[in-house]
Amino acid sequence: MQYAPDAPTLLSAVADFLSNDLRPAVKKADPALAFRVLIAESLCRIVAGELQSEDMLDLMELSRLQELLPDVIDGDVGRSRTERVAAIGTLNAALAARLRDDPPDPAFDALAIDHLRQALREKLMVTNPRFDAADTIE
Amino acid sequence: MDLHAIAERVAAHLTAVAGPTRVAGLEPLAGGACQDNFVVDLDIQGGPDVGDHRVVLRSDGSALLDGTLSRREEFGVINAAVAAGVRTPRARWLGRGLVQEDAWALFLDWAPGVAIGRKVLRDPDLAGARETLADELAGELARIHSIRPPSCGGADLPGLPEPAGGDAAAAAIASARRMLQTVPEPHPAMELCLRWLAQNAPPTPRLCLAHRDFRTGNFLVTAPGLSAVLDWEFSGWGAPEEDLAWISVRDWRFGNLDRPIGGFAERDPFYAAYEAASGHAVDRRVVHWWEVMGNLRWGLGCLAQLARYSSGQTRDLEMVAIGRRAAEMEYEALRLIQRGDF
Repeated sequence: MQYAPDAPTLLSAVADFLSNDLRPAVKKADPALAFRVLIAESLCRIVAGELQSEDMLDLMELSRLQELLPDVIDGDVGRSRTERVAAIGTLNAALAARLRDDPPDPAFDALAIDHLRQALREKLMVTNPRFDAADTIE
Repeated sequence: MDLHAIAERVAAHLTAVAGPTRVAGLEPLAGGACQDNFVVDLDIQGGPDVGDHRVVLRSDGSALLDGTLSRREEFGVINAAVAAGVRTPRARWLGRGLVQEDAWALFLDWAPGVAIGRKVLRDPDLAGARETLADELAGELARIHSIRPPSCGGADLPGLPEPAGGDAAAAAIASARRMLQTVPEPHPAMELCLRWLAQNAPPTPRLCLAHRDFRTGNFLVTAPGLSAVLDWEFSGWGAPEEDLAWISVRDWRFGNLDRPIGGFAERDPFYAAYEAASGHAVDRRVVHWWEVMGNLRWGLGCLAQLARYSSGQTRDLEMVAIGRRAAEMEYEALRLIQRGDF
């Protein structure tokens, strides 16, 4: 474990530097570069937020996937983050294979679509917090 | 890139095919991930095209994006569109090796206007244009779709194969499946989309030229209205609804989610204008199917751009950043599936 500042604080500091110092300095001379500075800033902010929410979101995704596909993983997933991420990968690969190869099963497909929309909502809360996930969009 | 050498080759090529030519200016244009584009000022001193011309030189880049046309093929499509009355800059003076060795290149007449999506939707100077844009674009689409493939009595266009059995939906499903197979990570949301698309695939009663990138960002707009339809590199024989739906794919609304036609108009007047201009009814269930397909395709497109970064083909930050955006298109496709047709 490192001394302070922690990773999200460092990433936020880099994002602030890109936005407050670098971008104004290159904006006029090189708009294409300024656009890439904006992308870099946004990536730093995404990762800073991701570090703070990933443990909780991964646990939620894992528990839904295990409920949807109870027979894929035998026994305990394990306690480390690496083990959890590997289990989510295994379960997502199994879900993809089932949706690709098995005959359509309307009851399962309806559960799968609800789970997938929730999983995507959780991804988008992190990678694009401004994304409007409402059902009322035209 | 040696601009001076390019200018010399351009002058020599045009002197051979058009008339004695001096290149008065040549500047690279931004944008175009897989082509090299330049704005060129020409002084043609003899022959039928004598005079000053501002043109865009468009050359194949080092790698063609999968499923896109080369400049030689695009040349044929653009001129078929011009012959059908589509408002798009004419393509001229096809050549080879002008920018890169062996790369095909063509010249487009310069057209004025703004293409950048957010500006088209928000620039106060274009407020009047936004009022007429849906009508104008519906007319352009009707003219594009009047171009028919050889099996329907139309002319052959080099490099454009007809879909197997004339079935555009099956061809689109197969193409999406091929793209998904190259993605290393599992994407169950895309699998679910493909399952739904296969279960609900519509027939293709009217095979025609589909532009396949007909959306805000690829139209040049000026204060009086539409100036030109651009970017034909994805076009091919397909279904009219591919284009009618693609303009509504969420990302091409540039934040104006309540205006499903390109972020500037409602569905009803656009479809009505298309029906009037084309003489063909718009089946909204089929448009809905293609809008699901469009979101899937664009999600796969994001992953393809990420793959170009991961393989080392490009180091562009934009290409690696776009990978995660696939989640947006997946979400929208699933939302449309649950929502049902319009």
